[in-house]
Amino acid sequence: MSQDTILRFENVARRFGGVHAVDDVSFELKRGEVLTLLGPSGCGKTTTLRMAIGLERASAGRISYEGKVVDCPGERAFVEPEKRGMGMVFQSYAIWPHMSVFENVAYPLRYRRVGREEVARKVRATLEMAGLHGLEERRGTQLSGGQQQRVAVARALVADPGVLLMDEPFSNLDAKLREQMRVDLKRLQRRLNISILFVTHDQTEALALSDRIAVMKNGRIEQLGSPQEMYAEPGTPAVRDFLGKCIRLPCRVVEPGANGGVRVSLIDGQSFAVEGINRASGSRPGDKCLVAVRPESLQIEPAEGSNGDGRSNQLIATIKTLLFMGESHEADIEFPGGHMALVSLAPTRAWREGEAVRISLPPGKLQLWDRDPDTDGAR
Amino acid sequence: MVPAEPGQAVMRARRIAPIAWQSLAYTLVLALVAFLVLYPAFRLLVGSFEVNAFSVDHGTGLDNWEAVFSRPRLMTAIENTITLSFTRQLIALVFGVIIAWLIARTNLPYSGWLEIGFWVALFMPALPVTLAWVLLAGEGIGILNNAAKLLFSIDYDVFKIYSWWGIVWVHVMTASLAIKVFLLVPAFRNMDAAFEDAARTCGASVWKTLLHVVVPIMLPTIIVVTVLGLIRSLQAFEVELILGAPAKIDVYSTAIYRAVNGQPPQHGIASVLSIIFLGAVVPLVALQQWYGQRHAVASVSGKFSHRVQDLGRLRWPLFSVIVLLLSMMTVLPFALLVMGSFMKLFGIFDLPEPWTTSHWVEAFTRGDVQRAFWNSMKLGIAASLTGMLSFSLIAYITVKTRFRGRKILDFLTWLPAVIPGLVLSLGILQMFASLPIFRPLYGTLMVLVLAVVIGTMALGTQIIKAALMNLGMELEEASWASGASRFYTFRRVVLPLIAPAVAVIGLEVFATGISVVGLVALLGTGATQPLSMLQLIYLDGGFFEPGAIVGLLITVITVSAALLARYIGLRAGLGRAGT
Repeated sequence: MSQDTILRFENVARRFGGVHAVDDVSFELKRGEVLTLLGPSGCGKTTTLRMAIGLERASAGRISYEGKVVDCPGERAFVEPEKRGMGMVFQSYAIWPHMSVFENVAYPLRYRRVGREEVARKVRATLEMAGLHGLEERRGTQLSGGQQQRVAVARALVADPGVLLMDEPFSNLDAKLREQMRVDLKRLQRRLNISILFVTHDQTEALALSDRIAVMKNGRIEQLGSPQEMYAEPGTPAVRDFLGKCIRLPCRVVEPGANGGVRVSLIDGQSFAVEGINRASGSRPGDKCLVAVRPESLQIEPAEGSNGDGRSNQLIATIKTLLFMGESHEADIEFPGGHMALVSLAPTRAWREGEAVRISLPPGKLQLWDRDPDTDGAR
Repeated sequence: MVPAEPGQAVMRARRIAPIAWQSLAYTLVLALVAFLVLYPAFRLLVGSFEVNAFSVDHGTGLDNWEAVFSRPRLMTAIENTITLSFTRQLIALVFGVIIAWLIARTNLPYSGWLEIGFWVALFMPALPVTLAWVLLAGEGIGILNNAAKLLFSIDYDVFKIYSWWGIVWVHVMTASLAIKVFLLVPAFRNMDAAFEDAARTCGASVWKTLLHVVVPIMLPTIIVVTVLGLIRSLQAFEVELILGAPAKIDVYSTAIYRAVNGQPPQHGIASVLSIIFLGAVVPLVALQQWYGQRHAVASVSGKFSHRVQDLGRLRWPLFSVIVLLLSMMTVLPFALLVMGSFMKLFGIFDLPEPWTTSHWVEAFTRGDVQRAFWNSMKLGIAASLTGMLSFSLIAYITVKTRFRGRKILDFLTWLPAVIPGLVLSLGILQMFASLPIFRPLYGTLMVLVLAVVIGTMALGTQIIKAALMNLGMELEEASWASGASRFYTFRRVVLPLIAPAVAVIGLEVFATGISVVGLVALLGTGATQPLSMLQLIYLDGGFFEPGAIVGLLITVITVSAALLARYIGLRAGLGRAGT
């Protein structure tokens, strides 16, 4: 194991009865890194996190922390959560209601042979850092959601853990506060250079906070990589659809195209070039396929008064419904052949419902996929 | 499996310890509970086939069953049990719903105090209250009857407490109504006021809103509470024994009591009656459980508004009516008992010197009152300590462990709630009489302690379980994650958070131990007789003046314990911990 790896999962599985909650999961958390386990509820991300600290036991595989095995059923090794020395922030925060903020935060130090004065000093420093100065004597029940969250973070960090585990820590906060907390957490993480294993189902949160993301589905890791990489070049349909918005157009392959790409056509016969990543299993002429593109890659302009400048890869579509969102317009547009997609229009002019728009499709940003089972039957 | 890399050490890892000893301890608890709960019932079944148990030519046969079914009085007793139960449940339900709604959801003045008033009423022991109503409305001696005779120059009794309606009345005035208010108020409080507001904006009056919106939404809770009340009603015993006997009104439980206390004691017949009783109540309990689990938490939402409904001009009149009712349930019986204890002959005011302290002097010099007092205190304290310890342990096993038998354990703790106190009493009596290893304990206070602990097991375990479930696993996990051991976590996190619930249970078990009659009716005789049994005997024999003194003692101790429990519960905000 390399020196800069702090937490390592090797082929870890967790079964509940006959159900594989986590199946063959492997990853390494590097020092100073934020790694996010992202996925819908029931995908096994929380179970993975709980196995990291020992609140769940692995059914198979090996978990190592700081170069030492902490859970390995094969070697009959298991280190209790209280002996691992990690910090954890729970979804409900789990602030003990019968203790003050100070007592809550001081709690982890009581088990680490720290002198009374040292405890007080460390707790105050940690509270200061978490922005909780002056709230020491409050009870857990007298705090707002955001304050409880800060206490939970302070308690998890006070004993200088090697790794911080966070289970959906922002899910109980309202939208504005959540954004603020994200910024605060990222700043704190950069300052302390602490390793964080983060669990969330919120893709925006994952993209904003993570150095790397592991998208999980049905107990397995679908893809692991940097947010930019995952966003631009998703490896599986699950990753493509889970991270960010995505327009999917059912097409058929026409012929091989330039730059290693293909030419495809929509139902009504309009064709265009696709030269981005190719994840389709086959791309012979006549094969059904799916073209995926991020909405922000599209260039949309009024069809009237522009002739397209002779550029290729353009489609004419119609605005069906228009929603004013403040900084932009959301438009539900209809592609030739009847496929609908939601795109965002810049507020540079007054758009109208029923108006025809010219859509430029940059070939390099178009991805080729197999059709999903759910869209396959349609056309 | 990836092979271990060289130099990879196992960090202070302990071998996966054989958790067998833990399992073993849990299994022992399960076995003990199963034995204590099931064996008495089994003994009853066996006993019902025993013939001539007390003579030389004893054997087995169906004689008891035949005897029971050839008794004409049995059918009347069953009929009385059912009609009495349904009548008082219906009355208590209607008023209970209205009062609970007024307290929980309207701007009724001092509603918090009124709620405490009903808490006290719930703990008013049945026997002393019965005595108070005898003193007030009894034929011949009742103050109201004598006053009516004087005022209206009539020569008959207007009120007849020794009657079918008398029994209904006393029950409504004790637990029947109070328990409905007690259970419904918290449920009503958790209802979202938006439901009511919506009805009001649609043009419904306050009362129409109650009838058309609140009651239908709360119907699942109301049904559960009603069936619970019905089960308790069927088990009622002491009020029927005192008030029914002179009027020749038998109910099922009194028939069992008479059979056991007959000459010679007819344990076989009592066993048959008990078995039939169990057979009738168990389906009712199953129904209540099934319905409760399907519908109980329908209307409770996380975010709700607490806006109260405005009663308008009716605010103070309604308040006065409820205060009057509460006084009749609590202050009036207490005052009558105090008065009764100081009168030479109760209800007779035209003696030259009607007042005396001689009953008190006598009570404190007489051996039986003193002995019964200390028996009751010992019983209450021992049952309370045993209960707190064992209920906490059982609750912890069922909620916080993955012990395989925890579901069965949970089910077993429910069973005693089904078994009427008197039947349980008979079962325990037979258990101690039949098993050689228990014989040395036969006739000691231990037997009564055991009866009270088994009898309060369902309630006690449920309340501690609820407190434990409210804690949420993450509160404990956060402690483990912070580096604390299991034991330290239990001591610093779990125990402080459930301590109020445990204390409340301790006090409630104590109060039960002091005031309970049915549970100990067949066990607490001779040297181990507690206050409640002494009172029963005084009342059964018509000795009202010393009965009033014993009743006062019981009432004061019980109500004090109940108020203390309420205070602790409110201070700790029970049910809100950890959420």
